[in-house]
Amino acid sequence: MQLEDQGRRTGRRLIALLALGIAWIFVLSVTGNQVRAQGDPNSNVRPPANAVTPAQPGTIAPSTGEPRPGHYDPEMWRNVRKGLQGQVSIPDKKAGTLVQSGGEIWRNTRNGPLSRYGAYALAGMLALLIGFYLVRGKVRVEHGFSGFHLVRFDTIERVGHWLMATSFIILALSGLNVLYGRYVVRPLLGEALFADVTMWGKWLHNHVALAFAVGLLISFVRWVRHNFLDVTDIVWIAKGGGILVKGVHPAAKKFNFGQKVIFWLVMLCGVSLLVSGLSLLFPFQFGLFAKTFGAINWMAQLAHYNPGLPTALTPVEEMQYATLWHAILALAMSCVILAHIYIGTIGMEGAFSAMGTGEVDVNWAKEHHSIWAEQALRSQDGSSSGTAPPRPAPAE
Amino acid sequence: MKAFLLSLLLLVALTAVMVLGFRALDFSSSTVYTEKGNVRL
Repeated sequence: MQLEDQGRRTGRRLIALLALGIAWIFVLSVTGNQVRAQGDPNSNVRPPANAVTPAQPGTIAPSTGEPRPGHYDPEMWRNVRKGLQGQVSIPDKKAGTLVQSGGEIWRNTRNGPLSRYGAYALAGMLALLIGFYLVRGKVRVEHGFSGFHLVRFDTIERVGHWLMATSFIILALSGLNVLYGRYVVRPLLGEALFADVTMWGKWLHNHVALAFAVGLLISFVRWVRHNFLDVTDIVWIAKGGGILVKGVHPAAKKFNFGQKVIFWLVMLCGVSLLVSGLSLLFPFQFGLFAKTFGAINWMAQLAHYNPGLPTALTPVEEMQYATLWHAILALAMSCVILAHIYIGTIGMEGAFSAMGTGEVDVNWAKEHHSIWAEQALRSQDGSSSGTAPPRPAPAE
Repeated sequence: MKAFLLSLLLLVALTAVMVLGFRALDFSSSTVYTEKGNVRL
């Protein structure tokens, strides 16, 4: 029994000593930190003579009535937070901006309204096309196929079109993946595969741009002379293009008003996409938006209006505007191209062969492009020396 | 069909031009800004 009591007492002492040791280590560590925070008097490291001693947390430094120097000047930090541009001696002048507040606005805009309204626009266009198909159905060749064909687009025109189309589809899908992939594609593919797809998609996006530019150029050179507006377009618009009501076929030349609108939208959006894309490929090298805003301000002032667009933009702000503009245009163009693909494939009977084989049925041509069809038939009559095909349906 | 295949061929060729062009510009390296000018690593 005596031995047991002695053992218990020895155990209690050991536990007490251990607890005391832990408490001592804790006290030492806390006080040691405080000593280091206050400056070790034995240390060789000394703050400069004009250094300001920081206030303890939770305390307010006494006001002297004078502006506080350095990093304790709240007004200066407020301005830095708002994007104050300082001076730097290195060539990278944008390093003079410590806090680029526009980045937060850019991120909120991109992930907020831009993504949201872009998705609405794409979904709305799809819904509109599905609704139109359900109500109107496929636009048929009312007189049936004649079996005789007219050459509508030659090889160069079709190469230009398909070059533009295939490159645009790659660009659109890889671009949409950058904007929406994390919400739509990642849950389907998983994180690892999504990362690979996105990486290669971005690589393709950067490198396919030249093909799109060449396709755009070929199409512009071959088709621009057919895409100026004229009187026939007014009649075409008045009759709703003839696709809203069966039996109505307004006259049109090689391209009708709807095709002309698509042509100019693709050309203008395409060029702007290429230019803004170029500025994204070569970051901080171009100052496009400051100049563009300046030109818009100048033109608006001619009409006695001042939009007040910013003309002094930092390189980072230029990039932010470029990414937003690039995305807005791409979304708008994707909506337009969805409608174009619809009417060129399932929406209209006989339309796809124009770009497929390059030829269209004579009756299709007479119903949708009657002026062009008459010209093409006349020129075919002349070139074939009296061996022209019969004319099954009258041009309307 | 012939035009479509030709356009695909052209697409590949022009993409290759872009790849070679970027390699020539050496975008794999990083630019470091120093007081003596921009240095590519």
